[in-house]
Amino acid sequence: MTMFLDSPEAAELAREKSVRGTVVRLALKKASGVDAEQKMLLEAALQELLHCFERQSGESA
Amino acid sequence: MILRSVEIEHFGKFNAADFEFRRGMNLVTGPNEAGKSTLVEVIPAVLFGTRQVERFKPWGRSGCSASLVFEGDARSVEIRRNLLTDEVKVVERDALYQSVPRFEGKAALNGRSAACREYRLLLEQLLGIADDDLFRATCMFGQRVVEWTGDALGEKLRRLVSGSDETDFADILDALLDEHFELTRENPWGRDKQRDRELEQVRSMLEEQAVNLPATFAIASPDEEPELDERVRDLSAELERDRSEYVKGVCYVEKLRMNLQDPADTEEVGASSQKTETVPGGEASGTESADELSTRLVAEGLPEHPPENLPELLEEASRIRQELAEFQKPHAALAKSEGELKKAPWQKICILTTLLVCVVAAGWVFSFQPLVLSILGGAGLVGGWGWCLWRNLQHRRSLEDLKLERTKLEQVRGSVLTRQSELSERCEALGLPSSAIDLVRLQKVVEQNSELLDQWWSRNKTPEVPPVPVSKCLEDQNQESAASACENPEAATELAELEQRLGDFAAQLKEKELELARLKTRSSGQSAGVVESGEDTPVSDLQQKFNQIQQRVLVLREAVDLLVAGVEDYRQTHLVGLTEEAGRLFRKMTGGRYAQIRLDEDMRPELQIDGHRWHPADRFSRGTLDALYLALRIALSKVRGDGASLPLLLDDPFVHMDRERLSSTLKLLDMAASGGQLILLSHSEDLARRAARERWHVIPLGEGIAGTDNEDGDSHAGQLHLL
Repeated sequence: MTMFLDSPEAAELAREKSVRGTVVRLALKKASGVDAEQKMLLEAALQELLHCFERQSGESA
Repeated sequence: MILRSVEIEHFGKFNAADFEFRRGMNLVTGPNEAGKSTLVEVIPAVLFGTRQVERFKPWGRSGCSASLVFEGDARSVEIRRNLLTDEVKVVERDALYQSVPRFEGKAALNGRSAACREYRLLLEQLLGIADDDLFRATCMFGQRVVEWTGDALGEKLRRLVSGSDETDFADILDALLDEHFELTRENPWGRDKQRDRELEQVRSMLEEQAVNLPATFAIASPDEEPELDERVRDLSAELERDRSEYVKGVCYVEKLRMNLQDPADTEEVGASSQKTETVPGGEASGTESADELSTRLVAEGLPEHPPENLPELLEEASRIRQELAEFQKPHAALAKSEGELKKAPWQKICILTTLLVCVVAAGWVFSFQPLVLSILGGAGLVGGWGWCLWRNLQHRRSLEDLKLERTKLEQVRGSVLTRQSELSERCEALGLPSSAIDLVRLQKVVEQNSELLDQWWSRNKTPEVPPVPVSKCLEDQNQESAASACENPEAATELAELEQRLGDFAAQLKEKELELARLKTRSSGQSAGVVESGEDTPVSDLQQKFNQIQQRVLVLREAVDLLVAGVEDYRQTHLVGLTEEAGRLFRKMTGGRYAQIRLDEDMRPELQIDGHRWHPADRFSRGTLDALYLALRIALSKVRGDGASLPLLLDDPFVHMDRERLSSTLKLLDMAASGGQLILLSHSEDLARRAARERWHVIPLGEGIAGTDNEDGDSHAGQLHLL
């Protein structure tokens, strides 16, 4: 299964000089040293956060 | 980007003036009241708008406008604003001086229109700042000190260095924590609230269901599975041994009985006993074939002792399922009807009423057929309100009808559920599974193995309690041996005792068989996970929900940890960057007297003395504070500009500094300006002389020099580069 954490989009987001970029960077760093189950959890948590960011920026726009 | 020029028309003292600035240090010099502060004020006024336009608008003049030209990255941006109407025009020009209009519209200070948002977005993109307060806090430093820790400003700065000036991470964190708390009522992050928690509720429901379930249907937890299997194996082996012992006991009793009888009768009795003898789990006679049948039944997924009314039970279960499924349609139709019901248009009728009243009032005010308008308006109102009331009445009636229909449906559904509950109890009593899924599966297996079941039922007319025939057999044997017992009383007593012990042993065997059946059902229920309790909510659904909530809780915890770590990381990076840069600058300004600066939670600066003690900045002298705030602002403009400094405007910031500190500060400013632009406004002649020495760009203001009201004619200021 393709994971967001392994995608180029995640790598691109991680380069952002923002909190969002920092969060993605942290998630990528964490994901590199954990088992598959923990990685799935990280993936879900990151998706949840990105969704929250997107929703809030949509609300504020 | 640097500020290349400012063009002013009818603003404050300036009638028509044009000022040019350069990269590096710029000094605007002139006596008091020459217009230095006005020149500084016009910059944020053009960028963001101003509330003080009346203050700067000259008497008797029609217009009040200004424009700024920023330059950088082989392009320039001109921002022109009519300060009276807040009409803004932004034009971008490339290296070949080709103009591209970027924005044209009305953008007032703190406006909320789409145009305002678009303009602020453009400013953010061009200058990296789109807020008046922040611009003043970071890029301007004047005689009138803007408090670093003002309520709104402090909050903005905190958000700025925590990266939440665009996204409110506190809101997101709150939402995540609230959801976590709602699910668990646990608060690992130290907050406490009184709310229901879904996970706890589902857990208690599960526990309740587990308690209410008969032991036969209790679900084993995954941890119990290996233990359960081991117990089933042990009990099966024990049961096998006990059965063998029982058969031996029966044979011994039989032999004893035969010894008591006439030899002639022995064969007959032995034969009759063999015909009727049944041991738990099989027959003494033909045990092998009965066991084979049982094994085949179990192998096919059927109960070991299927009751004769099994097909009827399964048919009844099928009927109940069908009836319950049929309730879905009317339920859905009812829900749809409820959704389609239209409420009375109260809002529309209110608007209509207001309109009619206005029209009638206008008729009376302007004497335009007031009576006719009043009658027509009144009729319209009565008609409208009457129609609306009628619609409301209809809506209520329809709702009541639907409610009645729903109640009837629920009653019928309740009776079906009662039947389902009774059926479940009957199934449980017969040792059958009671869940809908198991019953459907069982029905299929029964249909596929009807012949096998017929064989079983023809062989076992009374299959429910296997040991019963043993007692019956023993009773028959007792009757048969009663006559012979009279002849040998000791042997008869021994036989009676043995029979008694054999009966007890049979009862123990029965209990063990039931226990084994229970354990097997638990084990299969655990692996299938579909056991029902007979209530509306199946245990499997609850378990599934419980697992989902647990997973969600884990995701929320991980998300909160990630967000907190991310925000803290960003904050540390930027805050540490800010304080380090400010500390470096401040150290230079004060000649190394104060080594470090830090900001507390409320963004209040603190200074370190003697290498270890921290003191709030407001305890220090005005001169030190000025130097500190200046250092902080230069640092903030650098951090905010991500290395590319924004123009820094300093309006006489050195009035409280002594000569030594002024000298080191100016050196520092000169260094800071080398990578960007610094516009210094001062009336100090010393500073003007220094500017001449240091070859700063000097713009003199004053009588007969700049395009002030005192000068009619040439509006362009002469610019002295050297005094």
